[in-house]
Amino acid sequence: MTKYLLFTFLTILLSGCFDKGDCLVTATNLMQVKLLTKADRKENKIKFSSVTVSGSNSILYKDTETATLLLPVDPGQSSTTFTLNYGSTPSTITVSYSQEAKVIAVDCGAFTYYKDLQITNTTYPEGSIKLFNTQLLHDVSTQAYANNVEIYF
Amino acid sequence: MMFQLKRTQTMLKYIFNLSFLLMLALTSYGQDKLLDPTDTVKNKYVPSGIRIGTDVISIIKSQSGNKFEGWEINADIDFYRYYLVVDYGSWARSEELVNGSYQNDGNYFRIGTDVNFMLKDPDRNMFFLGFRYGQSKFDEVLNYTFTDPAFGNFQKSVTTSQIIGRWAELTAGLRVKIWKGFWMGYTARLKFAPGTSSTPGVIPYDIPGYGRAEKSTYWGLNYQVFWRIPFRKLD
Repeated sequence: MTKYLLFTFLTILLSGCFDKGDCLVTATNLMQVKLLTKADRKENKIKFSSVTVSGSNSILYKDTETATLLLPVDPGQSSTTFTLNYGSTPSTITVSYSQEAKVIAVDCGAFTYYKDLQITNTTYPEGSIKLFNTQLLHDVSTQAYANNVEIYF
Repeated sequence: MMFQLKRTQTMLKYIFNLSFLLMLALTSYGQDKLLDPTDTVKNKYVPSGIRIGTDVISIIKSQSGNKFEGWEINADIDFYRYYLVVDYGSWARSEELVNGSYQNDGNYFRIGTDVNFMLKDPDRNMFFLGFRYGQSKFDEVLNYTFTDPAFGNFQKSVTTSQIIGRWAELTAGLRVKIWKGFWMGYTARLKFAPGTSSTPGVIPYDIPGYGRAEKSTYWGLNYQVFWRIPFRKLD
């Protein structure tokens, strides 16, 4: 009986050996915005003249036609405003978020995770913009981003 | 999809561990009856002594580098084949990260029971299996830098105080009487189910007494020396 007991206990102890790898970094400050058709929720490519971000001089998506935007939130602030320039009038989206620091491993370093995403202000009419995932995440194996916001045209 | 899979793996690991723990408890109960069916010794549950000791590995780790500093005091008291075990320790870790630094500092305790499976041994040398509840209180300081293509360079510093960490342990080990009241032994620990109090702005990295907070199971090993203070003669 003691032998069985010992075997059982060693099995439990050995289960601790099965663990995942260390450098799995899912942190990102990129918010994914999908542009869809209002009628059937299908991909809807828009020709942007530019996209600007508060707190940054960078100009994104200059003269670019796309149905997916990856917009960086400001790591130094708790909210960021994006100005989407297409057509005749610029559209804006302001989002707020909280940040969480996490050490992944000594060899990988520390990263900032963004969560509690909220749309606090926008020029898009109600019903044409929707928040989905409130966390900003990046799957390194598939290079996929969490679906954060959808805009319907 | 990946996050769902990770959560499912963690859940399966807990279910696996807890199922075996339950089985262990049931078989221990059975052993009690098998090993000692006709014991008529009176007062067998009256403690015969207290053993007080320390963990040698913690002391060696503290002396051999500047990443870890800690100590641990262990005590147990016998109630026939069952031992009430209490540990108290200090744990401070300092790590250089690729993009910053991390420090923690805190104290912890464990409380639990061991069951001795060598009851016939005249000196009460032990092979034991046991269970512990562990809790720690600690502070963390995290400094790191990063560069964002759109916003430039950042240096972040996060300090969190009075974090409470909790976990459970399955233990196995030996205690051997060396000379008079001097005992030596080891305790192998499978630590599991870690948790911490709310820490806005930071996810705890290292829980004193446990280890890496994000690991759902963690190994530990103590090599201990004890001095036993007897209350009465062993039956």
